[in-house]
Amino acid sequence: MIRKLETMLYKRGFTHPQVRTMVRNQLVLAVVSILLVNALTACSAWGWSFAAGCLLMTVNFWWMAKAGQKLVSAQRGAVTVLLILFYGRLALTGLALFALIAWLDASVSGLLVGLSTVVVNAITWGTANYMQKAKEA
Amino acid sequence: MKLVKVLFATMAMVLTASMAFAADAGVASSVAYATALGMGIAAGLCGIGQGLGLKAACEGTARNPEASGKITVTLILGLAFVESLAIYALVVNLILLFANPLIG
Repeated sequence: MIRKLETMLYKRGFTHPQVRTMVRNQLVLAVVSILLVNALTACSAWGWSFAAGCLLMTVNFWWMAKAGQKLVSAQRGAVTVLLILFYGRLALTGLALFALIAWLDASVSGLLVGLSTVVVNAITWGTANYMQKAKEA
Repeated sequence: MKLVKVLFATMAMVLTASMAFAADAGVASSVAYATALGMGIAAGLCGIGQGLGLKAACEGTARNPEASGKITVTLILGLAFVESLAIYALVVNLILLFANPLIG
């Protein structure tokens, strides 16, 4: 399952192994946490808000990781990548958040916890790497 | 001089707040100003942070192209952290504008 996911990510342009691992972890974390939270809260409004925030941030992270890979290594087309992926993605995120808060009355705390999954993933990844390096040293 | 500036800024804020809370329309307009100011500050500072990170990453890759892999990962992590702050600010501002718990 994890190997299939990695292959899919490689085909989608995540050529750097560590970036691929981060995106894979984020996808797994998103799916597991959405299922777990919705099972625990019996698909309440809070659970759906959490799912929305989590999905939004995961999509955001996906595109940011892709853009980050290209920005450092690509020599041609970097401006296009920057403009389309970065600003377009941020505008879409803003619109989605506006729709969730203003129109759909999403639970704010659920949304914020869902949006924090990327931070949790990054901190976990950083800590795991640090521990591994400390063990090797 | 710095103290005087801080004093005047505080006075201005206090006076504006008292005027703004005098009527509902005033509250709404002050909330609109506050969200505009808050989002502007958050976006500006996060932009500076992301720009500094990207600048350092590009410089590092130019100096040592072999280290570009590690630099890319650190860059993405940094960008994710900074961007989540901007998104939190956006959420708080949207709450203030459209789902403000302080205004009935």
